Amino acid sequence: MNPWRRVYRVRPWPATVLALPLVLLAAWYAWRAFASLDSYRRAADPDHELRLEEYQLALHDALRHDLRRFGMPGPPRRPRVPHLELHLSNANLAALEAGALLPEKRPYVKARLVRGGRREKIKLHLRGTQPWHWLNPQKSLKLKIDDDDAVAGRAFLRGKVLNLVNDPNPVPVADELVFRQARELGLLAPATGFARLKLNGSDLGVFRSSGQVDESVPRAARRFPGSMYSGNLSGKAPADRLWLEPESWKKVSWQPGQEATRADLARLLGALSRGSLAELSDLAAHELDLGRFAALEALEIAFGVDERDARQNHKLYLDPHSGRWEPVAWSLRGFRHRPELELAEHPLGLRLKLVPGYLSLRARALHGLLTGSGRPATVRRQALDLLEELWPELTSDPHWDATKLLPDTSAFLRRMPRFMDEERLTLALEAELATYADRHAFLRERFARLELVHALGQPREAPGGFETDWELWLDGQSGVRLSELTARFAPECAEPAWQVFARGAPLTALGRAAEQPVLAPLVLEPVARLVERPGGELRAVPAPTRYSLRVASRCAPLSVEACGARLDDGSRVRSSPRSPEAPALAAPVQPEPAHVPALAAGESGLHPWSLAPSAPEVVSLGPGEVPVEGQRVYARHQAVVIEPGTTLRLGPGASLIFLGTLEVRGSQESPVQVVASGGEPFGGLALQGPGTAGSRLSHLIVLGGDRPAWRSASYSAALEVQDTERIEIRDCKLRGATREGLHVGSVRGLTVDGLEVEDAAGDALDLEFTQGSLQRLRLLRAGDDGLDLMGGELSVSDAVVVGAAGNAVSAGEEVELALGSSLLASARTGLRVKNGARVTCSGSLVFEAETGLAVEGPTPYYPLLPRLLADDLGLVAVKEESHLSRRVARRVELSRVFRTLSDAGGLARLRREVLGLADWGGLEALVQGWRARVTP
Amino acid sequence: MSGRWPSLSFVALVLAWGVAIAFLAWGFSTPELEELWRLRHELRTGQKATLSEAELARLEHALDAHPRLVEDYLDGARLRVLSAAEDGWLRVPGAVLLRARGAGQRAALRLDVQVAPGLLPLEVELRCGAGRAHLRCEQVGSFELALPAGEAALCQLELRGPDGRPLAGAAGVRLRLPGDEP
Repeated sequence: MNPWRRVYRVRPWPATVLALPLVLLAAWYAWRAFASLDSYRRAADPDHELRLEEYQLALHDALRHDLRRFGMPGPPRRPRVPHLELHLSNANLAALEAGALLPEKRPYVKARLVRGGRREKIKLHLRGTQPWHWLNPQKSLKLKIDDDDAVAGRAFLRGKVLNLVNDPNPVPVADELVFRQARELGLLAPATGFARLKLNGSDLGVFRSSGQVDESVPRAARRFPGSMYSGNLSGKAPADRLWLEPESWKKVSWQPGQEATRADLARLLGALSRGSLAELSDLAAHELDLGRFAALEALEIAFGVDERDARQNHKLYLDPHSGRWEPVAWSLRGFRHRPELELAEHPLGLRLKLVPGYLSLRARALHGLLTGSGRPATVRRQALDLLEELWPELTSDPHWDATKLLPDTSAFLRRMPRFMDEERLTLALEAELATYADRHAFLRERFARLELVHALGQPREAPGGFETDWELWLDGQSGVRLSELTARFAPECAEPAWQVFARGAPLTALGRAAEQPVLAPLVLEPVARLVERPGGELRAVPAPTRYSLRVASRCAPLSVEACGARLDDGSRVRSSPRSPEAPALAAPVQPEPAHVPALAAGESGLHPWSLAPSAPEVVSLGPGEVPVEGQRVYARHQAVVIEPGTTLRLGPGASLIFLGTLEVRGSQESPVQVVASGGEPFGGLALQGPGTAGSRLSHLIVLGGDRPAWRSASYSAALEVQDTERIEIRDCKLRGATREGLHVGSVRGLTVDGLEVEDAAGDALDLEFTQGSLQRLRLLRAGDDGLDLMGGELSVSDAVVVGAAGNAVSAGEEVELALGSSLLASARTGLRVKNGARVTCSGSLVFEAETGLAVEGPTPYYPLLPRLLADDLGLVAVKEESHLSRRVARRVELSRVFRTLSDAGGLARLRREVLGLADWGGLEALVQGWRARVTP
Repeated sequence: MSGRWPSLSFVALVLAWGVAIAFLAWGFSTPELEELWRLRHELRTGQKATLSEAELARLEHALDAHPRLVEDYLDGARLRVLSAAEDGWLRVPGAVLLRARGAGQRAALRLDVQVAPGLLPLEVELRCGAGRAHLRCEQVGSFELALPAGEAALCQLELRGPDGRPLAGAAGVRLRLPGDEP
């Protein structure tokens, strides 16, 4: 029979066999599409009724996804993102997946994390409540590193927590772009990136990886870990609770012993919510890092980030060294645009804008972004570079999906995860870049607007000529620094001499020239006013701000103009006369400094001229006895000089806080002494902040002392130097401190030449994240470490460290230390190297110690291996020469180690120049004397 | 007769194949919402300057079917440009505008025209459904163009050069909508 005829006349069974493959295929896809759509429905909105168009979408995606997988390449052989493997037992895998149904407190299960053949013990659980986090095979995970000793060389994570998130963003590099910008701006931010994961051999594709916002954030940024709080309100809590109750924040990082206390946050929230305008300005000047707050806000404005509102996504960090709060960049989902500056606002942001000067800081940061790394062409380039890096991973990702791949016809569809491909990525990327370009143009145009208007009043006759009121009105996002003024007089004026006064003080010299420079730069800042947007939300906008000046002249002036430069971009600004047609500018109501602003429309910030001006002055102390009963704070504009022969007698707990430069002019014959006025210990001395840069302390003797206290700064020693640069300490002595002797934190350019610290109850000398050089140190009988180093770059030479109860020298937290010609004696450990520190040591001697050298392995926060290079090192009378863990042994290189006292190598210089010994025979007695001597 | 007609099994087979193929073809065809998403992105990125009549009709239909979509596109405004623009400056020689119901009555667009002299006079044509509005810009400057009355949600603006043909690339034309800051 003709074969076509056989088909034509086919019987039931063969017909069934012929039909079945195609029918089964169609049925299989029909069922699969329904199953995936229905499981999403049950996870996202069980009450949602499925519609045919939704079913078609699911079917379309299922078919196209499988078609794409036909030609999908395997994972790249040379990955440019970390490839991780997780190994879980079947029971643990089942427990992990069972956690998906729990809304919170999902249990951790144990697993092994493998990378590059190295195994780490970890715990993990599912994270995220939205369906895309747990519904599909690629589930978002939170990994906790379990074993502190198994992380050597791990470069992709500094910390104990790694989040692997199935990012629903159609442009997977979008958040990363903004995070990179945040780091470039110097903002603290968690480590972020990408990683590929296999779970029990099954490829789960590419994840967005991020560290946790905890102490790993400041540590990774080479900063000292302090208090850090996370603010996220639950949906039920009142919106203002976050800004009233410290308990509504979660403390995620703290200094030792301060886990439970929230006094620092209570102080901040109290000042923010109940402080007057003057108190708010004072807080901003001393306890807020306004530059970083402005930088983060500028970043959010530029990229259209609207994640930080009154309730969510606030992370605040208190830097113990600067004593200032700053924001931690977090949740930076952006690339949105509406024609307004702040897409979201919060009470902290509103209050900051009431502080004089904040708007200019923000405008400057924004200008830097918009004309620098945030130019649309630059952002495009960065996006393409990042995508190029990620491309081999994405194109081989079997579970690449995203949300927001449909028009916003319903939340159900908008949040429905759909598979991604190159075409969809290209469209989504181009749309985000177009949105960004639109926003960029909008912002450039809005921030370019600035008006400086002058208005001259009616001249009044006055002795010697005329007096005329002169007003300047500033209207714009940025302040202006005036540089010169120009006056015009009638041609018949024979003596056109004139002078301008601001706040009662001369702004220009009395002169005849038409154009005169200002005597000292005068900054005019815009003042913000709170207004209500449609919908009830508050925004702070710059209001026209009036500055009243006075012109004194021999003739009546025809006009006076001001010229200066904008604070944001430095461009020239010339004032223009107020148009006669312009409506009269009503003088805005200026609130008093004592006014406590409510967060309500109509409130406005403090006029910068409402606060008393602070002209630079020199304060001289001594000579002779100077009693100090309580705390005395010398402001930044006060340069303090302490004359030789001065004795400062400090009462119980009394402290001297210097915010400006300090010059201690002691001499060998007439030192400057700081002593307690009675039996109770006094607080201490602190040089705090950038205003103290260039301070010099010479022949200062501090006897006793506990620690100073001032605002939010963290102090631990009788003498504190923090957050500054170019500090010189020469021939100073500190004795009998009840805590640490000298503590230096975050100082660049420290020079110490001649310092004795004896009988400090804690560390004799504690240096954190400091760069500088120290020589001729004598650190005796410290209650803890003699020299405790954490971060920074330091060279130490000619040091004698004897009798420390802990380590003679402890080098940690990736400090780079060059130690030379030093004696480390009578300590539990001579030299301890840990936490990725790198130490070179030459011509030094460890004498009479239980352990000569101790080098410790990496830790989760400092995963790099430490390094110790030593030449001409004496290890004499030590019970254990070195204590090295197996992993760090290769990182220790010792050459020319001497076990007996001799002048070999560089030790002769130590004996002769540092110890002043004729021969080594006198060493034991010398050390014995230093160890035993008790300060009277 | 039995030799001339197909067996019932053959009919069933063809039907099964037909249904299965039709089902799979339906699955492979681009769903309307997907097409709408693409269209919106192509407009936003400047891949499309204007829409064809068929595309306009499809978009109108989708907007009628999904009122929430109108809210999303308008984002609180009464009138919005859907095409590629940077702070109102058109990146393509045309624009698609979406207006809320009733927003067109007595509303006017302002056009800041800053084109090269060779492109003058510039012809601007605005179509909103059956309504038409036309503007001839002889020189650079600021012009007003009233929106044609009518209920049509979508309007299409076209820019033509002195030769009467649509401009080839982005012109220096800025659209300011009612309610925009000056």
